[in-house]
Amino acid sequence: MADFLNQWGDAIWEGFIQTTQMTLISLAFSILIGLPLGILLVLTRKQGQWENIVVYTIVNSLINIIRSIPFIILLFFLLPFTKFIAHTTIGVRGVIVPLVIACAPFIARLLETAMLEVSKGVIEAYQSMGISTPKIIWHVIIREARSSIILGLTIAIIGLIGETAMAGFVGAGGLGDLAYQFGYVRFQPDVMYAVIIILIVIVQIIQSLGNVIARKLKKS
Amino acid sequence: MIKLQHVSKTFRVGKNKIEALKDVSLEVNKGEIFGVIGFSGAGKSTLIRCVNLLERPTGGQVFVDDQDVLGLNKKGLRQLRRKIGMIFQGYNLLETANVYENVATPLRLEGVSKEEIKARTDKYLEIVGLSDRRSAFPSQLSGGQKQRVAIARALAHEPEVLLSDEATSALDPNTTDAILELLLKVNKELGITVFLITHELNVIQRICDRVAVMENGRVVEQGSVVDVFTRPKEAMTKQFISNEAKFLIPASLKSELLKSGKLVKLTFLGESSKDPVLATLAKQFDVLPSIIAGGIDQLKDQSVGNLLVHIKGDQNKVETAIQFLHEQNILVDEVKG
Repeated sequence: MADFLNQWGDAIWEGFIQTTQMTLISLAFSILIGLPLGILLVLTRKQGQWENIVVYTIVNSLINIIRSIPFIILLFFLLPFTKFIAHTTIGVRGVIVPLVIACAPFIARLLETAMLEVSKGVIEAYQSMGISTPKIIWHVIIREARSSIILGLTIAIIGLIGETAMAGFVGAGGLGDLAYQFGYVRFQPDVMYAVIIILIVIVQIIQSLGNVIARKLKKS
Repeated sequence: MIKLQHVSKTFRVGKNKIEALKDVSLEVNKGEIFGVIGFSGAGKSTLIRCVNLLERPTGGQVFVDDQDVLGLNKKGLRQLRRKIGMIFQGYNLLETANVYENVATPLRLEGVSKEEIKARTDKYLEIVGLSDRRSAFPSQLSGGQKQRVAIARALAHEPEVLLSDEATSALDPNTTDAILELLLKVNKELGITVFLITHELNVIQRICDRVAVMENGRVVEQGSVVDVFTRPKEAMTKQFISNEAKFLIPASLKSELLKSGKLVKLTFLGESSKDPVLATLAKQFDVLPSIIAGGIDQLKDQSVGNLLVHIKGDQNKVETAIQFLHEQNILVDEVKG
C-alpha cells in the first residue's frame, strides 16, 4: 500500500486536480450558457410569457442535435472551433470548449424541465400583482424550482466527470486518462482499480450532497 | 368601479373558434360585493380575468376606476394591477416561502420600503388572523389558512378592488363560511370593492349585494340579490335556485294534495313576514290553509321566508283567497302538477 502510494500518489493527485478543474470550469460556463437557454425555452414555448414558435423551434432543435452527438465525436468534430475560441486544442484549456458545448444544452434541458414544474397559478398570481416578467423569472420560477434545479445540476456534474475521462485524447490529463493510460495501455490494473474507487467515492459524495441541498431548499 | 362594455372573448383552438364571452356588459359599483354565478364552462373565469387582463378581450371595453384598461401600455397595466388584488381557487402561494415571506415578497419586488413592508405584512396577517403562523410553510397549513394568506397577500397592496376567482370552491362548508365572513369584513371595514365569481349559490346569498347569472358566455340576468332570488326570470337562474332542493315533496303526496285543493309557494321578504296572512285567509275567505313545508334563507342584509301552503275549500273561495295573497306584499307561485 505504502509502495503504491509512493509510486502513484502524485500522479493520482495531479489527475484529481485536473479532473476537478475541468469539471468546475466547464460547469461554470455551462450554467452561464445553459440557464439563459433554459429560461428562453420556458418563455418562448406555447403558452409561455413570450410565446415565439420560431425561437423555440430553433433553440429546441439545436439542443437536440448537439445532444445526439456522442462526446468523443463532438470532441474531434469541434477541433477547429476549439482552436478558434481557445487558441489551442490540447490540455485542460483545449478541452473546456467541447465540454461546455456538450454540457450546456444538457443543463438547459434539465433546467427547463425543473422550471416547467413550477405551478402556472403562482406565476399568474404574481402577474396579477403587476410584477414584471424578469422579476417573476428570478423570484418565482427559479426560486420555486431551486430544489429540482440542484438535482438537475447534480446529474450534470456527474455526467461532466464522465466526459472528462475522454479529455485524455487531447492531452488534458485527469483521472480517467490516468486509468486509461496506465491501467489499460500499460496493463497496471491496480492503478485502474484505485482510480475507479476514487471516482465512485467522488460521485457518491456529489450525489449525496446534491440530495441534501435539494431537500434543504425544498422546505416543507 | 369596474365597467365591462360589450366584452367578448374568442379562443382559437386549432381551426375551431370557441366563444367564451359573448357581448357581456356589467358594472360593479364602488363599495359593493358583486357576484357572478354560473355552472362551469359558463365563462365566469374568463370574465373575471378580463378585468386585470390576465386574459385580453377580443372585443369591447374594460374600465377600472374610469381608466380604459385596454389602452394601457405595459407599465400602466402593471401599475393598475397593483390596485387590483386577486385571489384564486388554488391559493397560488410560493411553496418555498413561509407565510410572512409570501405576503412580503411581492411588496419587496415592487420596491416598497422595508419598514412599510413589515408594517403592512404584520397588519394584514393580523386582519386575516394568521399572526401566530407567520413562520409556517404552505404545506403545513389547511386550505382555509392558505386562502387567508392569499387574502393577506392581496390586501397588502392596499387595493381598491379584490377579484375572487372561485376562492371558496375548494373549501369545506365551514371553512367557506369563515372565508366569506372575512371577505365581508374586508368589504365593510376596509371599504374594498369585491368582484367574485362562483358556482356556489350559498356564496351569492351570504355576501353579495348584486349578482349576474351567466350561461354559455352571456349574462342572462342581473340585479340585486334579493330580486334575482325571489323573482328569477330566466330558466337558468331558476335552475340554480331550485338546485338548492327547495321543497322537493314526493310526487305521490303532491298529486294527492292537488286533488283536494291548490298548492302555492309563498315568498316573504323582510317586513312582510310579520303579518298573519294565513290566519286572515282562514278567517276572511273560509278556506283551510295548511303548511306543507317552509324555510328561511339568510341573504346579506335581508331574510327571505318560503312557505309551501296547501289551500283547501270551495273552488271559488280558494281562487279569491289566492287573489288576496297576490295583493299582499308576498310573492305567490302556484304549484301545478
